[in-house]
Amino acid sequence: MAKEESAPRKYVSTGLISRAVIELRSLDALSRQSTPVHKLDPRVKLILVFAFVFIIMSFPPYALLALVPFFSFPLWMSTAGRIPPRALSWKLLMLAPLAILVGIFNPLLDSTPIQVPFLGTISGGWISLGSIILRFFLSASAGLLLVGTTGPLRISQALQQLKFPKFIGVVFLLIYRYLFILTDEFLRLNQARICRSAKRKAISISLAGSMMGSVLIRTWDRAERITSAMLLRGFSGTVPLPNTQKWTRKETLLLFTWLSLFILFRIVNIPDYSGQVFMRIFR
Amino acid sequence: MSHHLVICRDLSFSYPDGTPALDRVSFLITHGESVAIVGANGAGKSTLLLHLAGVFLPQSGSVQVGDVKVEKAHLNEVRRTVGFVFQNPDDQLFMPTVFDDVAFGPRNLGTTEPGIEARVMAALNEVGAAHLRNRPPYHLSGGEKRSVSIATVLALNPGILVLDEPTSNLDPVNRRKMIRLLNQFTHTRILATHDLDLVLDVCTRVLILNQGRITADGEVQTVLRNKDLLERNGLELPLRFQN
Ligand SMILES: Nc1ncnc2c1ncn2[C@@H]1O[C@H](COP(=O)(O)OP(=O)(O)O)[C@@H](O)[C@H]1O
Ligand SMILES: [Mg+2]
Repeated sequence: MAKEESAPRKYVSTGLISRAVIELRSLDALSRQSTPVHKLDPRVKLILVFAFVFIIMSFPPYALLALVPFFSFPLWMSTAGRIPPRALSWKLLMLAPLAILVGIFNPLLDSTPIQVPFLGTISGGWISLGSIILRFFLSASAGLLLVGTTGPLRISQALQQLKFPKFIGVVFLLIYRYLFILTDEFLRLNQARICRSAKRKAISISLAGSMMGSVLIRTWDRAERITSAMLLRGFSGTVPLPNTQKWTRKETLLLFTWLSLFILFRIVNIPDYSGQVFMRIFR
Repeated sequence: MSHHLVICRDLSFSYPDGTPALDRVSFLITHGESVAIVGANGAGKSTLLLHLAGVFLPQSGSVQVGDVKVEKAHLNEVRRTVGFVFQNPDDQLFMPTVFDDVAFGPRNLGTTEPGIEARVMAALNEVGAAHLRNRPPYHLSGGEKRSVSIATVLALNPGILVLDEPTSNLDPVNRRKMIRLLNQFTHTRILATHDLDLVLDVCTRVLILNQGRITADGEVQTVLRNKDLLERNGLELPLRFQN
C-alpha cells in the first residue's frame, strides 16, 4: 500500500545495486575457473596487485597519460584469467562516486594551467580529478580481478603465508562473507518490496532508510549465526586449506616481468614519449 | 556411560533486550535417546538448543554435556561432543565447495590431508551426498543443502546430534529422506520441530516447551495423542491421529 504524501518525494533506483550484487556472485563463480591466472600461486597475484596500486598512487597529482600503460596489467588479468569486463563494469560504476567525491572540488580549487599533449591547456584541477578517477578505476579493477581470479579463501590464505598478521586474513574473509550476506538480505527485502509496490521501480528515501535499517539488523543476526556455526566447527582464526599451490619458476618469472614493467611505466612516460617520437618523425 | 548424557538444571535465559526465552528448564537425556523438543513459534526451542551446543552460556542454572559443564573453559570439549545443525543451511555452509565445507571442521582439528579425504567422503556418503563433493554449496537445492550441512557436522564424529527444525522448508520427498536419514543415526539425537509427524517417526521421547517452560516430558505415543495437552501448548494432533 503506497502511503500518500503531499510533499514531493525523492527516489533512488535500486536496480543498479541489485545488478552489482548479482555481479559479485558471478565474480565468486568466476573465481572457480581454471585458467593460467587462476592456477598461479595466489601470493604472486597479491604481491603484484599491491605493487600495482602502490606505484599508481605514487604518481604526482597531474599524472594522466603516464597512467595509461598501466591498463595492460588488468587487461592481462582479465583476458588470461577469462574474467569478462562485463563482470566488473557495474561494480566499478557503483564505486565510482567515491572517487569523484574525493576529487570533486579539485577543479574549483586548482586553476593552474597545465599543458597537455594533444589536448592543449587545461586547468590543473580538472587534470587531477581525471587522474584520481583513472587511478581509482585501475586499482579497483585490479582488486576485483584479484578476487575474481583467486577467490577470497586463497587470498586470505596468501595473506597469512606472506606473514601478514593473522587477523588481517580473517577480517578480509569475514568482510567478504559479510558483504554476501548483506547483499543477500538486501535482495530478499528488495524483492519483497518490488512485489508489493505495483509498477514503481524506484524507492522513496524514507523507505530506503527503514529498509537499510532492517537489512542491517537482519545481516547482523545472520552474521552472528554464521560465526557461531564456524566456531562450533573449531574455527580459531585461520581457515585451513590444503596447500596445493607451489611457488615455481613461472611465478618468479611473472613477478619480475610485471614488476619491471611497472617500474618502467613509472619512470618513462610512454604515451608522452611515443608522442614526441611520432611528432619528430613527421616534422 | 555418562559420556553422552545431556543434563539441564533450572536453566533460565533472557536475551539482552530483556525478552525472556527460557524459564527454569530441567531434563536429563541419556545415551542413544532420540528426543524431540516441540512447541509453538517463539517457545524457546532454538534458544534451548543453542545452550546445548555452548553458543549461549547459562545465565542461571546449568547445562552438562557428557562429563563436562557447558562453560567457557570447556567449550572445546562441548563442541567436539555436540554436533549442531542450524535451521538454515545457508548459515552453516560457507566454503567454496561442498568438500571443503565438510572438511572445514576436521581440518580445524588438525586432521592431516590423507585422513581428511576419508573422513569427508564417509560423512558425505552417510547423507547420500557424495556426488555433490565439487559443487558450490550455495547452488544446491534445499534438500541437498540440508544433507550437506548435516555432513559437515558428522565429519566431526559428534556423540550427540542437535538439529534445529531439520525438516523446515523441505518438500515431502526430501522430508521423507530426512526422516530415513535421522533414523539411521545411532547418536543421541535432540531435535527441535513443530512437525509432530516427524517426531512420531524419529523420536521416542517428547519435551513440550511453552513460553520457555517445559510443560510436558514423556513418551511420544502418550504425549502426542493428548489433544488437550497439545492444544494448550499451541500445537495440534499429528495428522495421522486426526480423525
Ligand atoms: N536475538 C534475539 N533477541 C531477542 N529476542 C530473541 C532473539 N532470538 C529469539 N528471541 C525471542 O526469544 C524467544 C524464543 O525464541 P526461539 O528460541 O527462537 O523460539 P523457537 O525456536 O521456539 O521459535 C522468542 O520470544 C523470541 O522472540
Ligand atoms: Mg527456532
